[in-house]
Amino acid sequence: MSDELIEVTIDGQVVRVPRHTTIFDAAQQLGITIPTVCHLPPQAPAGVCRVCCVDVWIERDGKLSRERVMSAACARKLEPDPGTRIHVKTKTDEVQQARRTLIELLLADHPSPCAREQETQDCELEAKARELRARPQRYQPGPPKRPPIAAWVTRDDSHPNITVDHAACIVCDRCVRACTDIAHNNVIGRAGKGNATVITFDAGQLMGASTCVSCGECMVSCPTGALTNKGFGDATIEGEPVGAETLLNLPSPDGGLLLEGIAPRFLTKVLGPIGKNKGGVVRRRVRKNEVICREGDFGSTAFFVLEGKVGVRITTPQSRVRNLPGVLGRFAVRMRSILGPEPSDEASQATIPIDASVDLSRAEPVAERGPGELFGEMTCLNFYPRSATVTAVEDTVLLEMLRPVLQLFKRSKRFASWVDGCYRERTIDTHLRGVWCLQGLSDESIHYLRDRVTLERYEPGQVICAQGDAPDAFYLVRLGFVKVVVKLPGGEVVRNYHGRGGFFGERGLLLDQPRNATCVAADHVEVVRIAAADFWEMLTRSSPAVRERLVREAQRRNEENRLATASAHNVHLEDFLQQGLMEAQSLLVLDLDRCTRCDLCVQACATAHDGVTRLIREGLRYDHYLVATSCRQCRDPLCMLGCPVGSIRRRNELEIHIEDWCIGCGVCADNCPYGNITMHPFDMTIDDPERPGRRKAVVREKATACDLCKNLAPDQEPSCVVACPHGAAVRVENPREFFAIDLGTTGEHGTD
Amino acid sequence: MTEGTADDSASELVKDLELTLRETSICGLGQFAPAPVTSMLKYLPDEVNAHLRDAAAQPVPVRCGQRPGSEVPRE
Repeated sequence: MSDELIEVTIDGQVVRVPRHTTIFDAAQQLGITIPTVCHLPPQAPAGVCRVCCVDVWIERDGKLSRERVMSAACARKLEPDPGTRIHVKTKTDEVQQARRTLIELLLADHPSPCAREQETQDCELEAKARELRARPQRYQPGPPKRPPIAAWVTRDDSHPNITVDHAACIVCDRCVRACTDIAHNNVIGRAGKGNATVITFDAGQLMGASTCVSCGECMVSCPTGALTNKGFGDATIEGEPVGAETLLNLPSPDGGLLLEGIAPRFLTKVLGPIGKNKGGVVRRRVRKNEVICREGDFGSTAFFVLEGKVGVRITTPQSRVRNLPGVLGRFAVRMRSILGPEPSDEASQATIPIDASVDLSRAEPVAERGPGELFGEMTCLNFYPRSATVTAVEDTVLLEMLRPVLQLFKRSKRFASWVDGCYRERTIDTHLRGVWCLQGLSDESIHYLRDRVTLERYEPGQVICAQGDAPDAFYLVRLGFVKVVVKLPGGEVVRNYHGRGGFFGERGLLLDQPRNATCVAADHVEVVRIAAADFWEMLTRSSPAVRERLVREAQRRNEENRLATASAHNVHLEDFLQQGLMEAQSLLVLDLDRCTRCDLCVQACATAHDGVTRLIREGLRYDHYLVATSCRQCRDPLCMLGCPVGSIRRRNELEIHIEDWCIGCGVCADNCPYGNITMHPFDMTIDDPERPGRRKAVVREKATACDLCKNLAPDQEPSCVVACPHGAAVRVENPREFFAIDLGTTGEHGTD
Repeated sequence: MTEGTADDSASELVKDLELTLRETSICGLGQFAPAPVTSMLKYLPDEVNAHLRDAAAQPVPVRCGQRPGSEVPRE
């Protein structure tokens, strides 16, 4: 994309966008949403439904002329000829009329209301029809589709997870693009012409007999009831299975039903397999004083209290609960489980601050959660370790659910807004109490701040505050990494980065200077933003120690900046961030000065994992180290985000597990920025969909990634490290510390 | 319209379809497809109206382009 910015006028408003931006995207920047059916970012536009049609006018020499026909806003790029300017009208009577007719024609061939509309009231086509006040009864339905496929069925139930209803399909092409461009599976295509066009699987097979890997991408892309979910497959967590009725009757904290808006039939259908002792949600009974989840553990489930009461405790002050890696870490976990929460004298030491309280009595619970409340959802949704220990105060009955189930529940608007609200409130509270820089803040000021600060999310590459701006806020990093970039006459230099628990923006406020650096999100970042006024109010309300600490830090950074500007460019730090090394919690590096390329590490890995290596002795170099292609156990595990069945997860420890219920869709492998997850074909037998009662052998792909050899020898270093005869292979648990010399950074507070 | 059973909503329907096809079709064939009907309605409105009026009075449906009374049996 070129950097050239062009000006366009949309509905009388002017917007500047890069050349080649689509009309749809440009309009979105102005807050104008053009209705679409077939367009679903991030899929590439296809422009087949035409519902996004808009009027385009070209201005040349001050004269406006209308283009011969309307354009599809999703596909039409803004590429004005020199000397011309584009004007777009999105809401003229003609445009509205054309849209209405298009929707009416689409609906004429669509059973109305379709199965999805009846079950979940979320058929996009019907919603659009209502929005545009379409009158589908003006048209007669056409003849049934008869595509040139030998074994044609309108309703295809052959697939274990997905039902295909060709009658409801409007051939919008979304599933085809999802399967081809997004998931790269290339299973879904089209067959037939005109009204007889249908989607097909491979060369006209039934979906169950095709090479579909059940990633579900098509299903979530489908706007109508053509591709719908049958169930969760074999996802299993331990516990007693629950039926849909139990879930539907869950009360909401504000009265009413929690899952309001999710139609009973849909829930019954989705949770169907759970009745057969399988499922993503189970009931668990917990005795008094039993620990349900422990601070610092990794996990992938959320809990909902049905009966009883649980206490939330933050056990470790100034906690180093991060992930407890390594032998000592595991030992510590075990010791803690035997001895209970250790009385800690670490408070005075400089340790790594994480979500943990500093000024609360550790014996007393921070909060109690009773029936109808949810906990554990933070870890479930953001993949970070548990920030508190939860113990049953009395005998308690809980529902434990996997991430896909929690996300399914979030389809209920009431549940979603409630979960988001809880998340924000608890996040801000625990974070304000836990960060090092605000240690010593009174309860009252925390309450004051909690109601005023905002929790903001940034995508990778987004600018949080820019160099030269007036200081208007103080930021605490809650999740992810923030890059500090300084613009110098010779280009941009990455000066530093802040991780979880870090903070920035205090320098400008305290020294009353404009921002001297740009802060950019390096990955998915969540920050707590404290506006300038609240920042000053906080300082007046709190003890002088807080202010002193911040001033000292600001001066130290100022000094560091001055020295760094005088010295050479810090290329190493830039590389470090670019290679994503700061994310690593167990990074396999090979010291190239010692490595003789004997390949024993790879052989050891293969021997440990049924002959399939999970380590490739190839990769980027950093200083004199080779960063091998092997899972680095990221803090922000991008691989887990897309998993449709929640099979790639952390149980209670650091290492990433790929559970047996992996369906081989390859989303995790695509999402891993470092290529550390490999899809490997495994032989297995399945029920033959074409000949009931018979089994057939198939090759199914499953994802494989380094599991740190935890199944093999839980208390040892991974095989690759053990096998290396030259001591070249090292697992680095804290890259910032390990590469401190290269980075030229100090072990600074608030970043780790 | 051909069979003379069309009412006012039909001409509105034809207008809507014509607009949509002409303006929003992806390819030129689609954009041109409604042209025969449109040009007939544009240049021969009287004939169309007369046909609709006469056909409505006829016991047997009359095909477009035929004078009342001179119809040939439909195959």
